[in-house]
Amino acid sequence: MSHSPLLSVRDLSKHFTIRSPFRGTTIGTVQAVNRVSFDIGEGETLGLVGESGCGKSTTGRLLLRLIEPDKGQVLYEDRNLLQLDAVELKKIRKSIQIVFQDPFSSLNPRMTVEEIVNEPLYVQGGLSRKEMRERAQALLDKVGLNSAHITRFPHEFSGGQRQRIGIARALAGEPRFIVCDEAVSALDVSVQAQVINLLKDLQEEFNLSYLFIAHDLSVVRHISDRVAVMYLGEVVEIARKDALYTAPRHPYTQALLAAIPVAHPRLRGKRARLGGEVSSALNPPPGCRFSQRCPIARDICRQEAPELRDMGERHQVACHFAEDTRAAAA
Amino acid sequence: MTRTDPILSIEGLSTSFTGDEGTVVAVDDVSFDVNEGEIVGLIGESGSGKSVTALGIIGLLPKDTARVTAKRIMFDGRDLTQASDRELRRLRGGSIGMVFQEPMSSLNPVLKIGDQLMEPIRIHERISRRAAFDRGVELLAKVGIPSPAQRMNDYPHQLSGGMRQRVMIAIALSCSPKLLLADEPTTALDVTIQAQLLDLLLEIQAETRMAIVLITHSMGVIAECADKVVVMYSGRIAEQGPVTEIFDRPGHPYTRGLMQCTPELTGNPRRLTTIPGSLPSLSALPPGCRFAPRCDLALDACRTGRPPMIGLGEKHASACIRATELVTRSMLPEGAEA
Repeated sequence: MSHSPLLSVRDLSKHFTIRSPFRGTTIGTVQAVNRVSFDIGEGETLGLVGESGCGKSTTGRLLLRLIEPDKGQVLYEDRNLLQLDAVELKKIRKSIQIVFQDPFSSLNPRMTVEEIVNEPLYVQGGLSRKEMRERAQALLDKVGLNSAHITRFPHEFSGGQRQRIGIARALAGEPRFIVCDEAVSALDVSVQAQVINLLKDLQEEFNLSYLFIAHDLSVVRHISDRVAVMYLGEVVEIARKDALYTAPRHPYTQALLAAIPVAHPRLRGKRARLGGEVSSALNPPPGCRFSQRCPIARDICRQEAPELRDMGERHQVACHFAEDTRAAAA
Repeated sequence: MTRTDPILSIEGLSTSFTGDEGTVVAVDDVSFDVNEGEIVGLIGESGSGKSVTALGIIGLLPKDTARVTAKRIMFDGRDLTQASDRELRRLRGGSIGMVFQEPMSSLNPVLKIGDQLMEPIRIHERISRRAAFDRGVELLAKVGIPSPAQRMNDYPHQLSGGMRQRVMIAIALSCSPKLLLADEPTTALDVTIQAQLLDLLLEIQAETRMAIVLITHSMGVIAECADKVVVMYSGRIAEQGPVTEIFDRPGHPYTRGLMQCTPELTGNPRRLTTIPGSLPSLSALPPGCRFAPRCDLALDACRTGRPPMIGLGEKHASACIRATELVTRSMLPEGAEA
């Protein structure tokens, strides 16, 4: 594994301005993604978790410039994706792909599987019709679909199969990096496990890097090497998954983990629950954004936003009291 | 009626739907009991017939396409199969409360929270508007909504998903039901909110002793709150029993499969054990055991004839001919005491 990461995100921000629908005056700013930084190594999976509205999907889309970021840097193979012009971006997009959540709306119902899987190849050009068909068949084989079904339409497949088509399409350009945006969330558990295994197999075979966005903490634990936790547009903790799940440092991570249902009825018991709900990302509070719900918040938390600090062994935490929470977690 | 009679007892419930492409049987001969103060978890994947079962019990399926038949559906000493529409309507929202998955679509967007909360109270109990309003405020406070009197005047869009689901629960509880049918009440919500709502349901249930049928697709939710589990697959009951029994000694390959492919239940193996294939389509069901085509333990006998329910212990039964063989293998996770 090389020393410099494949993808390096620095201070990525996206703020949406909300205007009054009638007067056009600015009502406020939603800080959907605020100063997010992380690295993803070659062949590595970074899990990105958080509750709805925390900006995890927006982050995924910003990386691909499906939404244009306001500020920050996305270094991919040592080039800043945010400074590329349209031609260069098109070239590089081949190797950065995305798999979406909803296998029903992310495939065009009027295109055959072959057309869907080949679309990235059309766009890139340079292959004959025959080569493309062979390539599509090989891709379907790869994702565990019958390559004879290449002329079928999406509605003829089940949810799990459609998600496999989405994965085949992402693989068409021979990517090095794939954003999986809630890629298994809509699937039934028995099918979900199959797709998770498929993603792991493909990663091993092609040395892929994943940004795996999900709200299901157990799935993220299973598939990731490292995990980043987001709250209201900001990353509050990043760590290797074992460290994060066994010794979380940020009070929000601790609360999230405590909310996972128990694995066995005998393990039931009262656990600390997080009160309140996610506050609005519209005009967030000064200081730490979690301070309103945080059980250990003090005055400094309401005044000063904590920086993401490295606590050693690549464990980064954005909390003024990260040193104290270690003792509490242990 | 003696106290030991179950509050809800379903025998031989079947539901079929007729459409342009013929008739499909969505629920096939389902029987189970719910006792007073008990939480029965109804678990299955999409299309397993769990919601249709619940809707069938209370007559909420469209009459023109759905056909519900049952030997008996006894609720509180009454047979619902014999009940008139009028009687059913009196039960719904009265002694039987309902909570659905989508808090966005199950509240009326153009009516205030207060009006929606007072409607069932005033229909079922014929009390004054003033008294109903006070009861509504009380209920909102009970389900943990801050400043309940102000919220009575809010519209659904002014509340978050979690708060809307709390309102739904308040509406369901408004007439002190004996039975609550909760259809995926936390599925659309974040884990922290899910945990809050499950705690709330358990708290209310402990206080009122109402019975709950909790429909879910999550083994974790079952582990967290159910007393009894009914596992459904393709419209039939695969297995049912007390929750610890089901987790310790699952007697159906499908139940075992469900547990093994849920990441939170398996610790962290490199690969998840999967159930191959996917759920069969209701219009092309396999003969014999419906799980047989996906089952690695299937014998020839599984492919002919419906497997009988085999008793595995007190109130624990599985529709698998190899059930007794299966339960000898226990599945205790680390940290759990036997």
